Amino acid sequence: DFLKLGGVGLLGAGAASAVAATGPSSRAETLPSRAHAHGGKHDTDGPLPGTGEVDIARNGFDPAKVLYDFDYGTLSTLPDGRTLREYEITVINKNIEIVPGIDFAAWTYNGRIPGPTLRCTEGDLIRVTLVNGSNHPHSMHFHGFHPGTMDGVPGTGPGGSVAPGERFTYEFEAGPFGLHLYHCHVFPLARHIAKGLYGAFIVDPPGGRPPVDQEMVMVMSGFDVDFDDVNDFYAVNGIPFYYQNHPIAIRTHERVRIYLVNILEFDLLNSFHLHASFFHYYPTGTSLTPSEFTDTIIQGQAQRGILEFSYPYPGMYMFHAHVTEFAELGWNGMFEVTA
Amino acid sequence: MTNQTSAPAGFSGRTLLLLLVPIVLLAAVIVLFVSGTANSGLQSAAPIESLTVERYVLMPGAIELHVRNSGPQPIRIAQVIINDAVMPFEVEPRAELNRLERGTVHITYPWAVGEAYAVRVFSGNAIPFDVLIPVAFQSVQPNGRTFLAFTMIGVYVGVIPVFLGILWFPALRK
Repeated sequence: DFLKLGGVGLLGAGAASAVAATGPSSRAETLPSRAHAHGGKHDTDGPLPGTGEVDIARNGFDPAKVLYDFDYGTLSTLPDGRTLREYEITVINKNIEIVPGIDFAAWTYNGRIPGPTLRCTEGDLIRVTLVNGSNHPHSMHFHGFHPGTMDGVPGTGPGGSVAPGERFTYEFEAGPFGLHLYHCHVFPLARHIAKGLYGAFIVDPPGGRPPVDQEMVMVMSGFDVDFDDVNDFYAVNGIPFYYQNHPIAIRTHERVRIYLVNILEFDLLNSFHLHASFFHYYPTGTSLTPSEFTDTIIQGQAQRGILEFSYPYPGMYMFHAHVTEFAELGWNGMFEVTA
Repeated sequence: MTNQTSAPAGFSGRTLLLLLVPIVLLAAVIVLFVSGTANSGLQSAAPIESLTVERYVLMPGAIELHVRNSGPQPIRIAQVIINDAVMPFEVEPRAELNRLERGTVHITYPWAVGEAYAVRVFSGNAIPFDVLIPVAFQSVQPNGRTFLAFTMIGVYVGVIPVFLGILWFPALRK
């Protein structure tokens, strides 16, 4: 009886496996081809890191415009002949969709990340009025020459910490010429910077720099969305992968100038690498003579420099951090060079 | 024990009423509790999210995570990061999973045999859920060969020893 049962069981198992072997076993053999909704890349060469589109309209700022946006302020002339430029910047709390599906609770200057690129000429008198429209104290600390009371550091006067609802006007003579930056300097400093309170500050040399065909601003930063003091996403001009999804258009042989600022928090270094072309690099922009002709540079936090280059051949060229981890987490973009 | 004169057999109207009053009050308390007016002051400020990766499947060129929303509120699968690279992915049936709902996250990814992969799934509230694949190898497929392999194991471990034991029976009988 028992033997018969065992024999029948064996036969049954054998039959079942024979049936199963002829059945569809699609998972091992074929990779189902699915329409990729994310990223602007063709996936015929394999998957590439990237995301889909964020809601630019809801965010209220467009990195495509931030790239070329220079705020020269409101111009007037003082009795002594100096140029006066006035700017107004409001701190606004804003939820910004940095990658599809994830909102970053940001603190912003004028509702955008990075904040406005302030531009002036060496020797101008600058008045920047900071209005605090948020619920935490903030300030503006400029990199450049200015008196101690305009330093934007708590403890140096009323400009060191502007309370919610208050305003303060930072006033100083712009200098030295070069590419600088500004950011909040209220404690806890790392969080105040990392949450979005930074922007570029350009001081042109008297007479300006040699003319180029295109000028762009790129502010490199990161986003720590889960507050573990480790960046989860990286970006240039606020939105990870933006210029990968929307390549920047330039022409062959066009002279391009990039004002590049690193305000990445939590990581020691950031870098910039250009594909298939080399750039002249002016560290901090404080000299009109370049220090390097290369395709990769590193910048520590708050280091900045001016890059000048052109492309000899048309094509799609990546530019990204050569810290590969940053590139695959959002700090990656493309130049689309056409003849 | 004295024999007490009691009310007639069955419940009197008064006893019935006394029985029902606590039940009615209990119903009222339940209604109040469920309607939320009682604990509206104790709303949790942070979202309570929990995503359980029940198992993962590795197939040539892709990784599949079988997940379940094990938290009390719907969860949205927003981004997937594998070894510090943000990867495109698809979720079946949809990116927002209801309470206790299962989903399959399919990520096209060129994994290599023997290597380790750290997969992080970010919810819409930026809460990370990590699953570690310590050694990558192609997952066992539910096809005929696997069936046969397990059958043979069963035969070696179960059927054959029992048969050998039964073969002793004639010798023991002697």
